[in-house]
Amino acid sequence: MTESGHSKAALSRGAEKLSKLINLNEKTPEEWGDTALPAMARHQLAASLGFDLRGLVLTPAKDKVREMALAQAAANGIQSFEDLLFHREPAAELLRFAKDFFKKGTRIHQKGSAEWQVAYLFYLLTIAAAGAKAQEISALPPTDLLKGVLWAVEQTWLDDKTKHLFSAAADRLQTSARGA
Amino acid sequence: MKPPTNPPESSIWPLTDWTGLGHAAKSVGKDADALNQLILKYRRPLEIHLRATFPSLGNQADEILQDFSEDKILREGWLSRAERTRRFRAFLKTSLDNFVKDRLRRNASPPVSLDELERDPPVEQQETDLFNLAWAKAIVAETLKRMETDCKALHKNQPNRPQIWEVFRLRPARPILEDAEPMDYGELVARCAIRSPTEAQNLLATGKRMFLRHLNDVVEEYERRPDLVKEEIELFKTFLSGLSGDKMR
Repeated sequence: MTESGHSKAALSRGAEKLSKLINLNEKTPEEWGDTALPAMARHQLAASLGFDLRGLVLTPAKDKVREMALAQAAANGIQSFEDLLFHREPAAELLRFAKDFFKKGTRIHQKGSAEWQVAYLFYLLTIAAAGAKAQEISALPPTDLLKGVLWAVEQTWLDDKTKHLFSAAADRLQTSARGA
Repeated sequence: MKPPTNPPESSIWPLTDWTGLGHAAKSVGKDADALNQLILKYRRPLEIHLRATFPSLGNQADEILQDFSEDKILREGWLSRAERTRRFRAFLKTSLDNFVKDRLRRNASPPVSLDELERDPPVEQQETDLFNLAWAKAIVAETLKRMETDCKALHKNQPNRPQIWEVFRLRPARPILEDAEPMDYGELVARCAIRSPTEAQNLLATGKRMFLRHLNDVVEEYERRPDLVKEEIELFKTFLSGLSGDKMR
């Protein structure tokens, strides 16, 4: 590269970096790399229920219900989303709060972004985790839920445990659909 | 004139401190310290401009700038005129150009003509881009400096401000500050003790809002007229995107 060419390239690189910074917008999705989705999913599973669910703005009455549900869960050793979602009999009340939390996430984040995909996946996961009681925590029609669950099963960034939960939910929903 | 203390690389073209400028304007001949500060503040970008505009005079840059500061900056009334000018940088740059041209004319002696001493048009355009880029870097550097100071100050109601800065530094700012790749998600949340993806998102969004607020403040100080701030930032964006889009003329 000539000296002049090098200089122009350096100018261009410098400008590009500065341009990215001054064009920052809180609504612009972060450009996470390929490793972000599995890392985010792991992070979400390990996150404290209390920390995230207390971020939901609720009426005083619902807030009281939430606190009672969190206290009950903590007494049973359920502290994280992983504890709740993979529990043999997860508390429906807490699943409902978790579902609302992730549903809010799907509305906040730009569709298709890593944050949106994780929020949508966990929204489906909370409903799927309810098993036969899914209708108690969500008004989502079974056909729509099945569509979402089948999407989730196809995601290559899920760990085996989560994929297994979605596969079981897909089987259950398909069986139920055939019987209807 | 003492050489300026080494500023951060990004402070190549410091901001116009209008308060300091006004103070300096009134204190010509009275307050040597204030004037000295002002001269030191603008010496570095002036030198860059001088070397790029009159490359043949590069070896005389120190002497010329010394004379310019004594003749122009120290002359009573000059700084007061600068205060009334919308764009101080343009005023300073043009003043230096005129000063050098006058000097060359006064000292003109063949065989080197004034035309030969000045740059050709393509170089002139590149110098303008360099100058504007340096200006942009200074604005961004000042914004980052203020944001860091703001985040590191004690805030009773927002104890996570240092965390906001750290996340902002490691993600959007790192490629500029350290010429490095932005940190990936897993490493970022581990390093900053972030408790959930939602917290990561909130910290990033808050950092971006803070950066834009400080950028706005910095430009508002520079332009001094709030109605021009938005326009100024848009000009800044257009220039940078044109340059980064390989639209070098």
